[in-house]
Amino acid sequence: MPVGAKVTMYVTSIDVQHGFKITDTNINMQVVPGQVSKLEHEFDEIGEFPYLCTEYCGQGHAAMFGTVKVVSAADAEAANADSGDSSGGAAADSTDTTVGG
Amino acid sequence: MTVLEPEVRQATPPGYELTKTERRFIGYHFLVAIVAVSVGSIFGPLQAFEYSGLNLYQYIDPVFKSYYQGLTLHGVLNALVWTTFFIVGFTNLTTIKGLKRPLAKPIINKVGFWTMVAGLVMAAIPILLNQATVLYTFYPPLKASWAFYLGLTLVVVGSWIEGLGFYLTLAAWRKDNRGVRSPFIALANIINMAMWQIATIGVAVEILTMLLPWSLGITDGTDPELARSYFWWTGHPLVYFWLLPAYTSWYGMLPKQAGGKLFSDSLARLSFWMFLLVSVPVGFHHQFADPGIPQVWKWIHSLLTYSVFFPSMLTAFTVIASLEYAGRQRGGTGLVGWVRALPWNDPSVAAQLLAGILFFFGGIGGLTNASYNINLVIHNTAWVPGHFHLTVASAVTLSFFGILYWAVPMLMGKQLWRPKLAVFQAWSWFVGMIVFSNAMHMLGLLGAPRRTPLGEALYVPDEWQGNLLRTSLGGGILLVSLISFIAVMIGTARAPKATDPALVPEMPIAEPLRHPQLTPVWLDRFKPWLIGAAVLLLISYGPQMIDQISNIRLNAPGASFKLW
Repeated sequence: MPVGAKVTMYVTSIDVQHGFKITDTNINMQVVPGQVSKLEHEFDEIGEFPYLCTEYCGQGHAAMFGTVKVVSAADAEAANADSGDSSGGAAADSTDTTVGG
Repeated sequence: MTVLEPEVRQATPPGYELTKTERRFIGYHFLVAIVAVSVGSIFGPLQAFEYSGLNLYQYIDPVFKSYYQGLTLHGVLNALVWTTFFIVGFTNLTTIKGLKRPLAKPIINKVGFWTMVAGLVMAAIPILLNQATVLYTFYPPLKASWAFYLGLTLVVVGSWIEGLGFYLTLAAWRKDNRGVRSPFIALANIINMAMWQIATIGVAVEILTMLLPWSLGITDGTDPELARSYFWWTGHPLVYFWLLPAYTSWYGMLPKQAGGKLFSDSLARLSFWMFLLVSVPVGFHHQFADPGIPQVWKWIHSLLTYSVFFPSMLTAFTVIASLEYAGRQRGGTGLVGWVRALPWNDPSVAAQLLAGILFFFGGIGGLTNASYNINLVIHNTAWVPGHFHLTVASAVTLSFFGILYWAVPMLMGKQLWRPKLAVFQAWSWFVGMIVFSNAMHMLGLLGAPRRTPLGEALYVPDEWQGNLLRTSLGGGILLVSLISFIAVMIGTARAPKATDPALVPEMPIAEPLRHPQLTPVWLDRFKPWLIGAAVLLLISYGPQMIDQISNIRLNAPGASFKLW
């Protein structure tokens, strides 16, 4: 994610309740089936921000996590170009229709 | 200023001597409570040790399957069973001894108690069989066995039935004592029962209309957000239900034990009535991070939560003033000399004083939780259990231990076994909780989630390690303290009867500095406060609950397989 990006997050669950918290930010949402949690945040600092499941959801609860990487605008562009992900606007460098689907 | 009528100026009538049946009946409540807190608390250190990688659950695997099953047992036994059975037993004691008369209809209380026991057994079986590993908040659509939900319902219903027995007894007393102010300790705990009945409507509706039919297969799903709103209608006043009996003791008993008097009967009553008024309409402050609740209601409940701080401040000032009076009566001088002059060698006093000190920190943390914006930093983090181990596990539990240190010997006609060990128990609990709780607060600020076996989680950064270790250390100290408590209880139960009745402790009942008849009559009436509570609930919960109930969608069936 490029630094300075203003992101609106929509989070929900199809099974049981979860928690979505990104460390060192004010993003902290109870994730409830049947509802959509929405929060807006501006990532104005470069760095790695782990996100964790913060509500007990069963045996796999401690294994639900990931990382948001906030990088400079240039790095973000390069990363998008590398991944060939169409969502980044780096157009089709592949004929494989499943990529970026 | 009211002029005292001659008849109320008479010396107080002699105390009421409990019958053997009454002592046994109250003792059963305490027995269930003590067994629950002993078993439930053993699992606490197991969780705390897991934080630094020492997973003892693997050794008890044939019986207990996981960290989460142990955590469920820890929460249900301590937060729901220990508290409810102790409080109802204690309310029997304060009602009978406070009003100096037997229960009006003892059969009602007997039915209530055995209903609670039946419910406890029914809920315990699925927990032990790993069929209800849903933690003590049981948020749907985590689905437990129907027996778990029905069992919890019966525990609550049983406590309602006992509550009815207390109201009838108070009504009978008032009929015979027209114009006389109700004795404080009896009134205080009965106000608490009334608050509890209003509060538990939420969870009763949640279980009976949603969780029970769903777990029985009658309906296909639940509305998890509506369930959360019902749950927290009960969930926050639940903490005042735990706390108020400790306040009853701090206001109405501890001053007597410390050699003083209740500083103000009026302020004591006012704080209880305020709790009846504002304990319940605050639940949305547990749902600040929830979808589906408009911000304005969260904000209103945030403000109302601050209003609960007011009766707690009244309590802090009144109790400290009562204690200062006691300390100075005992010859203490100077700014802090009166503190040293208090009877710290009495385990019941030491436990409750230390409980009060920890509650100071618990209260400050509670204000943080109630603040809408700061709550986003700590919601669902280790901060939260760090907080409530200072409140329910310290202010409440350590005070209840202190009460048991006179109540158990009194009910059994014995002396407390090894009072010095009991004093050690209070201090080790105090130190253990400080270490444990501080580390948990720190972990929460660093972003560690609650209810998680952090020893096995893959994402734990190095900067958490010191606090994880301190959590385990605190748990270890608390384990030693818990064993001391169990030893003192068993030792007392097994001790021979006291040779001289004068050696058996009496129930401490503090006299107010001013005659209670000088307390204004509006501080002795249920009606205006009950009406106020109903109006406040209607305003603060009405519109949003109507919205959620009328838009109910039972569309969350949960997982198609067992999640634990």
